[in-house]
Amino acid sequence: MLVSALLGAADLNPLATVTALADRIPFVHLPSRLSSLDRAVLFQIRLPRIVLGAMVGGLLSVAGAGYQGVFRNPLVDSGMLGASAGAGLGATIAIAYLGSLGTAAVPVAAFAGSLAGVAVAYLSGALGRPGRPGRPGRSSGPGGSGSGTATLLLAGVAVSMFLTAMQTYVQQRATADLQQVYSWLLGSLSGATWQDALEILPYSAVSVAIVLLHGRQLDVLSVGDEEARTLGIHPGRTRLIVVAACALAAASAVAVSGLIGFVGIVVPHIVRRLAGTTSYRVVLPLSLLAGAGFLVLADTLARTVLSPAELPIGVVTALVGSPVFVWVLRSTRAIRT
Amino acid sequence: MSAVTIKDLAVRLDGTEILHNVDCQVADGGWLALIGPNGAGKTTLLRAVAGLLPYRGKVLLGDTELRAVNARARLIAYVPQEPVLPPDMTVHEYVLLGRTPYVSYLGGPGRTDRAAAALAIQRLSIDEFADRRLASLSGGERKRAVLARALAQEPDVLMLDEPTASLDIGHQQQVLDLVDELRQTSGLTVLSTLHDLTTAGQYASHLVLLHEGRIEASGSARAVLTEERIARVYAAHVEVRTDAAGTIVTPVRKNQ
Repeated sequence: MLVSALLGAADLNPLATVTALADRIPFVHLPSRLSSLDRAVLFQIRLPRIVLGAMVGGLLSVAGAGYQGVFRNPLVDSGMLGASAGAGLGATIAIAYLGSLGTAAVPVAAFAGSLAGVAVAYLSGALGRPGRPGRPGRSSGPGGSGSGTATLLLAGVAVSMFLTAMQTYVQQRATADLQQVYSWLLGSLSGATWQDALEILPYSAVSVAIVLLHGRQLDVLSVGDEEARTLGIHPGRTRLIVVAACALAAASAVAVSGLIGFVGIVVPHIVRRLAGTTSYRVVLPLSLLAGAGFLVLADTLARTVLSPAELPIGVVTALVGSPVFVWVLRSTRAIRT
Repeated sequence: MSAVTIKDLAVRLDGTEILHNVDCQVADGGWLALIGPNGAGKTTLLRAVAGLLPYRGKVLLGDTELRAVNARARLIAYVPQEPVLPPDMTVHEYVLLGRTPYVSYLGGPGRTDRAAAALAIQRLSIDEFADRRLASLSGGERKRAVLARALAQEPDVLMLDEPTASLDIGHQQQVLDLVDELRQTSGLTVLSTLHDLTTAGQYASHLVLLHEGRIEASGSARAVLTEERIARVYAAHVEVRTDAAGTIVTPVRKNQ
């Protein structure tokens, strides 16, 4: 993070930056040779961006890991269940039709769209015709992935496709705003402010706390709904709570950063491999930290590689993340979720 | 007193009644084996008692009727025919899951829970592979791990669905001997389904023969396992002999 604070289009003196930062620690007073312009760059542009990047990375990773636990499916990520598609539709509508309200409407619309997408997917999946109880003892598949969770994921795919189609339609109707919609869809942390971080702080804190506290429940769910029930927990209730918390976490991230893919699926898997465990009591908190670090690193690359121009951060997470992911997959022993 | 009393139990799945007015009792500290052909409703009956299926009628544990999931989990441990074993979980972590009914919603396992899990691991002599991942265990080792998890639940009643499925004859005997030993030393009551009629008669103190969702016969192996009845219920040709080793059911090939 310190390195990230030092790197950027504006050249800051490293020593001066460190002393300026240390000066902000309570009871520490250090004179810094940083000019007032440099101070502004550091405290009003770079630091909020780093903090926001860390928050977004942590949120996306925790949400991804939480969903993977709830659905007992390693391919699920934070954008599942209509979250990304809902956010995309919300943001596109805001950009195309609510332009008069300025850019303030976009995060709110993305946040609401993301939550609405998950709600619609959850309701259509969970309230559908209850799955056939099937042959006794065989109602959950060989992997114990329960027909309920599969139905929910499929409903999420259907809702996502529907919302994406609507988003494309709105986008085609408003070609004038195409560029803005497009750059939002790719995700970005540019223009991050302390205000952004403060606004998503309550939602982030609550959602992350709820997901982290459910680590043990997710571990119990790994033996399948049925056995989890004979161990005394309510799988449906736990699933609803964790899905709601993950949706809130992902929506908070999406509201301030747009659609940043890849983080929610890759970070938890890297954590599992490196930690050598699938226990969510370990995977969830480590994903929070690793996700924060990963996104700050990716964003640092995004704004320095082509400096002063910026790469979309979604491009960097995929360009850097994919090879790292493959390397981790090849160099550690297999961990099955 | 009976450990489990099943009164007038009926289960309906997808509009079809699978079990009709089943009445039976499992003696405290006894072993009741449910036998019957495929589709007779053995597993359905177990799952209803485990609280996994809605049913009409009553299931009493001791003299209380249980509805709450958590209260049931402290009294009944249920081992399905094919338990889901998270491949990368260690045996120790898996056994500790058995303590779930005793751990508060957001809490973690405490000292008592770790002690109970350690004891269960010791009882089943799986100490040496307690740190191995479930995926690396053999079929027999897996069965022991699953039984250890059930034992860690400190239940009054142990319910096993086909505990010997997919085990060779030696491992079948080892698992059943183990269950019987646990029953005798821990005062457990066992309710299981068993496929093999001879084995059922050798290990269970009481047999209940289910046929098309009804109890066809109930009692000791000698009383339940007759050639005429097995021919009628299973459409099988068998010879039944009773000697010192118990009641032996031997399949006989026709036209030879």
